[in-house]
Amino acid sequence: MTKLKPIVLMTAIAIVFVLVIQFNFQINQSEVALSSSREVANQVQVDLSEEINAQVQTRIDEQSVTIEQLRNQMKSLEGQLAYLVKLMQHSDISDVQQTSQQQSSQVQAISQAEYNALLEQAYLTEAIDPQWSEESVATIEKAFSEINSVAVESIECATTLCKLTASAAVDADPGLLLTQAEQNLQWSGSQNTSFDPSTGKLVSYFLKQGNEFPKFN
Amino acid sequence: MKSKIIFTLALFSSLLSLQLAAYPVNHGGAECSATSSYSDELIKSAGRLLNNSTTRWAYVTCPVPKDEFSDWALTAAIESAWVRVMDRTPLRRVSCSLTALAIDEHGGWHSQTRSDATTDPDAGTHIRTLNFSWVRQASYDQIAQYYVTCSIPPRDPSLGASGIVDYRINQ
Repeated sequence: MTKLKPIVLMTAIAIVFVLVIQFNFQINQSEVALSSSREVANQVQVDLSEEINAQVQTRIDEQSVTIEQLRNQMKSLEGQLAYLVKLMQHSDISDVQQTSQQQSSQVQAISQAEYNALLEQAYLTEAIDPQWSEESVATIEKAFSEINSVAVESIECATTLCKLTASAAVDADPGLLLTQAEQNLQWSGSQNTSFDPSTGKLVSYFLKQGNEFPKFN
Repeated sequence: MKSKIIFTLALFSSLLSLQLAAYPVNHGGAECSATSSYSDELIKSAGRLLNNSTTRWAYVTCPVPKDEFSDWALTAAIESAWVRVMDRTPLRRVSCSLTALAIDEHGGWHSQTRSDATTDPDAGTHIRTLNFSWVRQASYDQIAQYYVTCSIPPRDPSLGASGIVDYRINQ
């Protein structure tokens, strides 16, 4: 019995030793696994962060484009609003309604007064071609001197535009007057004429052939 | 059933007539008439209008029917137009103008006229086309009348009579 005791004790110690070694080994393995898991978790965190950042950036880009489009629409609407306000100042609401529909033809509509102001501005900003100016003044003067219903007050020509100012009889028929002027003058370019019955003034712009008047309805 | 067919046909024909009204048509020169007092020497031949006088110029006015469909759609200008003329003169002197004239309720009026002439003496003695670009109707709140006027030189003894063949206005 006494001989058996050391053997049992040795065996027990050996078993404990083996168990300790095994336990240590498992702890090491667990530490390695834990470390590996941490690395994977870190990697996943980095990947997720990058993906989220990319998605957020894409959203920001998309929103920027939308904001830019909205800004452009706002500018366009502001322009249309300003135009309608301008029209409201010159006409009643029915004109505005009509003109809104006209805008679909892509040619802006302006009043005759505004159109005449454009022609006047174009005339005033032109340099003077002395030869063409002198010849054209003489031609227009001769043609209108033969029309009884018109008293010429001034004729001036620049480079491509001439302006005639005259007094005309309020009851003069515009069709006959224009036809008579056309037959006498034989002007090869375009003409734009307005008559204001409140002043009795007739204003004509004569455009040299090959040039265009401003394009507005 | 019958009423449905009639209704469909009526609707179709209405739409067709609207569609047709939107397309420009050619007007014969014979639709033009003398602007000046004499017209004895103007002859109408095969839809054309010719000046048969050997001494006098003819001044003619050609009507341009307003396209009601365009009025409804508020198209406020002539987009383009042409007049085909027979210019049998050595100097090619037939000229035409297209005018938009608007008269307002106060007696004021506005007009815009475009002119073109056959200026090329080497162009031959047959049909020439005079082209007109965009013409303003005057103010957008006024209804304009459109018309074409032409000056036709006297008949050339050897080349023949000049005149208007036809014209088209694209509104």
